Amino acid sequence: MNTKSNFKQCTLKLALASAFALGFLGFGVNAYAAEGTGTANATVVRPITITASSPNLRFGSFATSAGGQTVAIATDGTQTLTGVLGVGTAQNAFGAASFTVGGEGALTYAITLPTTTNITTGTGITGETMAVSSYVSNPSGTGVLSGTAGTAGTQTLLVGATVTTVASQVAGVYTGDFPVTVEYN
Amino acid sequence: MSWAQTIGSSTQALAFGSLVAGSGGTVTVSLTGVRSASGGVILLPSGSGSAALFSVTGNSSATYAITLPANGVVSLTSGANTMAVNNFTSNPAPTGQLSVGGSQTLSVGATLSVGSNQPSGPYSGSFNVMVNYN
Repeated sequence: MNTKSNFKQCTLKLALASAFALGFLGFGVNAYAAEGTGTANATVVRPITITASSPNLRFGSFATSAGGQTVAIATDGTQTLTGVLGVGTAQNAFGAASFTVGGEGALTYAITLPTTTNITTGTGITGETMAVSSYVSNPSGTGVLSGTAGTAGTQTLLVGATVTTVASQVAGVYTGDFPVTVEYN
Repeated sequence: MSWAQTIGSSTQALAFGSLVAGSGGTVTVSLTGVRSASGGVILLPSGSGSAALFSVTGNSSATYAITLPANGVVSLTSGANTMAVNNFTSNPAPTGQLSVGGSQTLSVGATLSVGSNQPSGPYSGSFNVMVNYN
């Protein structure tokens, strides 16, 4: 009887020891690894666009008698004559260029204007060329598209400049192109 | 002495910033949060990016293995539109060592695939990083 009883007790102790060891091991394995969750994000915005000016930049009609005379068009379309003689209003259609900038609402963009371009008539030799410089724009430097993020936005960009005559300027209709660049900030 | 090792949610998001998709390409965020683009993707200077940051804690000076998401697992979504995020990188990698105080900051970068004319919108998603004692 005594022997049997002792055997039972030993078995019970062994079983308890095993359960404890397994439990401890299980706890240890779970605590070895951990997982963290990261968030990731990106914002895709509409491309920025600028349409060809409509109407164009128009200096109007004028008579010049010497080099260095100027016609300036402000962004609000007003015309300032220096030295040249303007003609009657009916024949003197002048005004600022108007561009439409489009893109992602509420974003700002940088505006780059040319330094100097030319307008020409005939073959564009000296006397058939006038320099266009002092470009100005409204907005100036930085523009802001209308609307809010996630919607399409637009802005009207007005551009003026100053044309300068040379001596013996040939009479004619002078035309030329000028680039305006817009780029998201 | 503690047996537990922990890594919380990212304390800073993995941000690819603002971009114009154009003809499509990729945006890669480095482990220091510097963005670079390939293909037709244009990055907006105003919409900067950042590497994800995690805080790992555990036993003093313990080393641990870092498991990053495999390719083809993580994507960012905006409504019905998605962009894949692959080529995850981390610093440290592939093994980190906790400080004497029992902590280390883990930074994570990755590469975003942008489709041609990818629809505009805010894209977001999540990814898992596992750390495991060596």
